[in-house]
Amino acid sequence: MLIIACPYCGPRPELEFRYGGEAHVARPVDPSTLSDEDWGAFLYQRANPRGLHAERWRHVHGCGRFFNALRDTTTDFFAATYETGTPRPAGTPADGETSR
Amino acid sequence: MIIVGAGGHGLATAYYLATVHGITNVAVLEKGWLGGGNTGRNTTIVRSNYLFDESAGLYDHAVKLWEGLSQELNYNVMFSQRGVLMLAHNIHDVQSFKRHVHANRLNGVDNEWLTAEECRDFCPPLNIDASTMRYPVLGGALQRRAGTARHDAVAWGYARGADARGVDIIQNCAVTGIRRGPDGAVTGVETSRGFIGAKKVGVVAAGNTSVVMAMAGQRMPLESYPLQALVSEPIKPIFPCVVMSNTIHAYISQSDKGELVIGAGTDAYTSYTQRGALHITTHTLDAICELFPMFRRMRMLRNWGGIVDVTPDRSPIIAKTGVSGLYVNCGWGTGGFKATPGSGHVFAHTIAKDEPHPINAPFTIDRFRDGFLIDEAAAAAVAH
Amino acid sequence: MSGAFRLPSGGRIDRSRPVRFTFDGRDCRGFAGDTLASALLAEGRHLIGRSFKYHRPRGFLSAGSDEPNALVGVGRDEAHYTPNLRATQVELYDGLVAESQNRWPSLDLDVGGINNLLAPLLPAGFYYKTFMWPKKAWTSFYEPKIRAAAGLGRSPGAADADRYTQHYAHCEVLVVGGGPAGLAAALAASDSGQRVVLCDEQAEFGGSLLSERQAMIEGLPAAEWAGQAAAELAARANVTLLTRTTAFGYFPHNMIGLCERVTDHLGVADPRLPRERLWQLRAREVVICAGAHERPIVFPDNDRPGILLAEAGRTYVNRYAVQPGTRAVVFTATDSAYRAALDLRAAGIKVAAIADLRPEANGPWPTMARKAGIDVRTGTSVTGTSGRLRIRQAQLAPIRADGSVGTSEPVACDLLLMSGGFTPSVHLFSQSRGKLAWNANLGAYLPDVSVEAERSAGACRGVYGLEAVLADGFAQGAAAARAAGGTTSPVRGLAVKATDCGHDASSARRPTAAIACSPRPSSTGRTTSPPRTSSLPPARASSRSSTSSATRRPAWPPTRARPRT
Ligand SMILES: Cc1cc2nc3c(=O)[nH]c(=O)nc-3n(C[C@H](O)[C@H](O)[C@H](O)COP(=O)(O)OP(=O)(O)OC[C@H]3O[C@@H](n4cnc5c(N)ncnc54)[C@H](O)[C@@H]3O)c2cc1C
Ligand SMILES: [Zn+2]
Repeated sequence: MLIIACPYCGPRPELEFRYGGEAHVARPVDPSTLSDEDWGAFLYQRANPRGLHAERWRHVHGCGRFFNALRDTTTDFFAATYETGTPRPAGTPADGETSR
Repeated sequence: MIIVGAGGHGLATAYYLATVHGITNVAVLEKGWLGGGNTGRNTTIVRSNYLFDESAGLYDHAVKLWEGLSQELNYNVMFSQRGVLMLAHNIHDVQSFKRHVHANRLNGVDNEWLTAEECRDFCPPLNIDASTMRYPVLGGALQRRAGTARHDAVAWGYARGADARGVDIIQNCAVTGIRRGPDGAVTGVETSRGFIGAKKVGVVAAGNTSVVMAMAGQRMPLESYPLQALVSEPIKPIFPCVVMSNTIHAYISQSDKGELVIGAGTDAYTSYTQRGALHITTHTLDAICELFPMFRRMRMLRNWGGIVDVTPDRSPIIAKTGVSGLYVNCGWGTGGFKATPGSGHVFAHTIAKDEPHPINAPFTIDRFRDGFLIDEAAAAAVAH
Repeated sequence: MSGAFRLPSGGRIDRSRPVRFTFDGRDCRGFAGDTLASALLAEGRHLIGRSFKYHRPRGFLSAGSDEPNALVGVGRDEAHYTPNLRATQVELYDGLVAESQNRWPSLDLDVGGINNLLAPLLPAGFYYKTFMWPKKAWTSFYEPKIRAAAGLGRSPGAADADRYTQHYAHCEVLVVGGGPAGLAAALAASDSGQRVVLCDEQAEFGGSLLSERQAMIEGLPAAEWAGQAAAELAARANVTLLTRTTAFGYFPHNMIGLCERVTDHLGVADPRLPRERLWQLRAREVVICAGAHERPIVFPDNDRPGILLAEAGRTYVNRYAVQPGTRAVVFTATDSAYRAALDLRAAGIKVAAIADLRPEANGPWPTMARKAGIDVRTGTSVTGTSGRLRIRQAQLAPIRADGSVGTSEPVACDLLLMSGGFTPSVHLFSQSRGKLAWNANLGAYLPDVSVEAERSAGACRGVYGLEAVLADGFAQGAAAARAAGGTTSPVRGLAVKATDCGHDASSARRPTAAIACSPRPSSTGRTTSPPRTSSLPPARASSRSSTSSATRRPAWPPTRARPRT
């Protein structure tokens, strides 16, 4: 069971959280103008990297808020957690790099 | 031709390329060892009672091939049609399974409804005493032609068959890049052991598919999750079939070695670690102990994880890609072992002919653009 | 009285509390403090099971959790029946009912043993190449037959009558294993006042100290010191002691799974108690003190009842006051087995010969053994054994300079102790995803690069001498406490008076001919490489010490995450 540091509540066990998938997937402002290709990509395509992954979590059994995290999918260790709406922390390696 | 990944699906593809299409200049590249991925980690449930026509066609094609596979390969894959029983615990389950039964019969796939007592008669260790259960057994759907097979033997059998016909199987050889020519078409792959040229590359890398496809600049509708399983110490035969429960979330069978083989759902987050959390396992075992209170004192021997590649509709992709000469067979998620012969058979066709076999024609990547989903995820709460 | 092979005095059993139990329906006796294994051995029972495939007669090999043979079913009725328990771990209580497994109609007369004669026709993996024709026969005939032959024990026949609970807990330092390293680690770690949990799978703390005859620690006999140390720890409010508790899994972010067996050792338990308690324990730091396992030696027919690991022989004699035989041959590649031979001798067992694979053996223990008049034969191998349900004879043969084996000479015995060196128990470390490194000196894999917040101490990282083990445990315990935020630097002498046999160490040189003499591979065990000259393993490298620590560690200790922007 992972320990996840909620930016609002501090480190808590995984059981308090719900996973929310890849972070920073911005919903297109005007979907009706999008091609099928782009709309399908928005809905379904994911980076799914081996290594660092920017992802959303929701502290359902806590403050209830969404936030973002950078986790290494080859070790399950977190490099950072940060608030929704803020960009990925500067200086962290790109998706798929390992945190080592 | 190159096949990336020597799991059951990759090896079956190579075997059928050689036997059905006469193509033997094939290399199967494997970063670890033969069958060391999900093929060697799964709980070996084979069934074909899926809801949608497309799935029923694909999985039943596989079951028909399973039925003659030991003789075809001259290698005993121990396919054992001991029946798969899916338990219903609430009205929704009952309605949904009865719908499955009817839909399956229309597709020529056997599936029948059993009452709770009939379930217990079919599987004597099952507890159907409603007073002791939070989710009493209301009945179940039984596919008698379904069952289990010996996972390692499937990989070894296909590998022997392919090897005997001239296919090269190269272990400890990770694909690290996909090389493309000026026209964008595939020209070969970079590996940890050097470059290998090829006009056609079939990617059958299960949990690692997104990583391999990214080498050709392709983003996939996939997420990779850890899926755990565990086995008990071996005991004398006690469990005659396979039992699955979507609602209280566990499934169980007994291997020919005598181990009780147990599994359930994935961990919550994407990962490549091939392991998961203890609370997932305890949840699964809670369910097993409720259904089979006589197994509560049994001790578990091994617990492990694999990485499964999951599509948004929980149905696989067996298709051509946006890159000429690049083919992909993936998205089997938690339940692709059962499809191994069928998947290899139609994927070999797709690569050899550069067009899909009618059976896998619906299983494109484009369905996630066009909206023709094959939504088994919504049709059943759990795969396998 | 219990058992004809019970020594008149000594051991850690409680002679004032005799215990009755049954094995395969026969009435037997033992004492509180016995395991099922020690009590059966005290009655002279060596044959305890049948092997999985060939139904070869099998006896006790070890005295602990590494026992491969002595699997039994235990329980007074179906609602309390547990299969596949190791008799070496089952604590005796009044009214215990145990049965042997995988035999028909009885243990001594087993029909499945016919497979042993067919062995040459049944190579590994033969199943895959046969049983396919005619097609229908697989499900209707072959598979049911194979399934019936598989499995060892049987499932309980009725719903379990017991209750179970679980417990989530936190601590600063978890120490896994309560032998000398673990006790020392817990003493050091708890000095700082931080929460320390010490767990051990056995009924009492002490580990290998409980089998010592001569070693002294801080002026006390080793086993007594262990009791003292445990009492000292129990008196500290910040320490939780868990006996009968197995650490069974190392999960991400320093979560350890513990299985505590609460009532299995009680004949009559308080009905309010659960049978087992599952602990999901989150520790800031873990100290693994899991010890080492003795390796068997590979030689033909090394699986007969009466063939035991040397340290197991010591344990039965010293801890349980049981004679596992009357006339022993010791087969070794280490000095420690000489100590075992002398312990047997002190318990009145005749040591017929010590066969040492190494060309010479001149350490303090071999010297003592020779002085005691034991027939020590270096450069000697055991090339075979005989005896149907119990060893009767061992074949000893000299190893020539060119590595070939000379003519063998039969030596009568009803007990053979073997020691092929020691393998550090690195299971938990490996589960934590730590990386091992091969240590050529010790001929073993040792913990190398850590991933989680853990460290190893004592024999599980290749430290063997008692004084060195205690010092290592103490140092690692103190270091763990500091890493978890503790501020004290405890000091304790932990003086030892003992003759080291350095297990794998000093005197051992790689035997030239070693095991090549086996005419065919044995049906048990894998080939082991006997140890070479050793030194202490280098301090473990850690990926956590450097700048990378921020990203490799779990989000722990609880610092508040990034400030809001
Ligand atoms: C615990 C568990 C239980 C399951 N239970 C069932 C079940 O009961 N029934 C069922 O039908 N299905 C089940 N499944 C799913 C099933 O195992 C898979 O769908 C199926 O085995 C996939 O086969 P494969 O050959 O595609 O994948 P794999 O066997 O995983 O083969 C893919 C291979 O590709 C290799 N590879 C990856 N990347 C590279 C690279 N870059 N270069 C070279 N090689 C590479 C991998 O090493 C691997 O060997 C289960 C899965 C798991 C994990
Ligand atoms: Zn919160």
